[in-house]
Amino acid sequence: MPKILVVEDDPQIARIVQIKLKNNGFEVVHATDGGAGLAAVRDLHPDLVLLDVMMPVMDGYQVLRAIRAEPKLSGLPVIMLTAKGQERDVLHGFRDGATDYIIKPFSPAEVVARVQRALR
Amino acid sequence: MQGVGDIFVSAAVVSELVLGGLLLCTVLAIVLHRLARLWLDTDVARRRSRYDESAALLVAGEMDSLTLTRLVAPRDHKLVEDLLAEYAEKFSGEVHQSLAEAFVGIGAVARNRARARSRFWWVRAGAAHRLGLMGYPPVTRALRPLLADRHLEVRLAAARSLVELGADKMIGDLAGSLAEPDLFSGLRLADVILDAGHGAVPSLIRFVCTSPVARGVALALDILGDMRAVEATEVIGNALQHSPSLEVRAAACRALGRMESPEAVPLLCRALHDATWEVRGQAVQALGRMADPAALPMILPFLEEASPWVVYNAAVALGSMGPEGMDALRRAHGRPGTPLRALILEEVLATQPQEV
Repeated sequence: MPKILVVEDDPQIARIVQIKLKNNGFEVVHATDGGAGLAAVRDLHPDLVLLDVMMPVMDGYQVLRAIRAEPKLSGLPVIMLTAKGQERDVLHGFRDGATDYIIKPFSPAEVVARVQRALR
Repeated sequence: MQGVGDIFVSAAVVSELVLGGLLLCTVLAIVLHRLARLWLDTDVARRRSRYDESAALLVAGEMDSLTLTRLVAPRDHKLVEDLLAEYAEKFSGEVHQSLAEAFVGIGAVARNRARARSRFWWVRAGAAHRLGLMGYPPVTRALRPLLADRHLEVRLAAARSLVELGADKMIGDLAGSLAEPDLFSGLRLADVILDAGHGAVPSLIRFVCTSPVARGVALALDILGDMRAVEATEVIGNALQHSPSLEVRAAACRALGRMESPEAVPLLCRALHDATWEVRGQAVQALGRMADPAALPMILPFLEEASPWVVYNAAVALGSMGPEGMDALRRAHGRPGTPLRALILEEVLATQPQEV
């Protein structure tokens, strides 16, 4: 069962994403801020990370750069969750090594489809 | 018989007692209020968290809207409405169908329709925003009259909600508001109309043809240009030729330039002979944006204009016209002229990509 780490500080978004992913056969772990997310990446070895951009402690880009800086984690797929209006940052995310991005507000079904595609 | 002094002493004691009592009552009232508030907040938070789980299941497609609406106690309808609105703002797509059914089920649509008729503008604006979030198309009937509301915030909220609901054509009703006296309000309205897309074009054309307010017409022309509404070329051309307002003629040039349509070229060439340098400068800039080398001989004389802004626009326009334009620019730089003109040409030549 592929393990997905959801790093998201909004409890409602995190909850919906967790329900949808669990119902589609994924194991889901949740971290509420960038620091905890990075620690979870190192300790739990997820198969994919869903990473919010605006978060306390460390923002999504800082976490992404830290992930890419570690040789063991450099191939880990990371999907960024970007708020509407931050589309310009998408390029920034790709430059730092993001696999894909999803713009909020998003459809829960879209998240599942993007995760499945990134893991294929 | 009591002395006068004793009477004063008794009065002082009584007043102290009264004041003390009042103070005690106030402290007691504050404590009771705090306790009641605490109890109320805890109670609301508890009820909210109970419904939050059901709302999450609804959004995730694990519960149907009918089951959710049956779960909600009538006194909690408003609380659940707020909760569902939070979800509606965070998610898109298929979620909105079930959310719309739930909003109807808990009476949120009817409640906000009534709020949309409130005498307080902030209540009307809030209702307009909430109705848009609900994703329930029949509410467009309640939103449309709000486009003519006397308060700008209500009109903007209604317009944004109508765009959300896909009723873009109705946004045309907002075109009349472009005649707002202050420019900032006009710009905010223009932003919403632009978001609505082509549905608003017929109303904008009507507004340009009929409105006497130059600033509003100029805004409408800018929107038409940003939309690249080629069907409005004739109307924009008329405004450019016949409007007595410099603001309108300059906006018409900008709009034609953004359209990048061949029909706009002769209209802009005519505007090069406008009496005001502002319009001539806009026409030069618009022709430069199109980068049509055929316009080169017409732009060249503007390098000798008195207005530095026109000279700069002409230089940039020539720079965008390929090798021929660059050659013309270099030749002009070699000719004698004012120091300011020389500086402008140097600056533009330095920023143009170098030929390999």
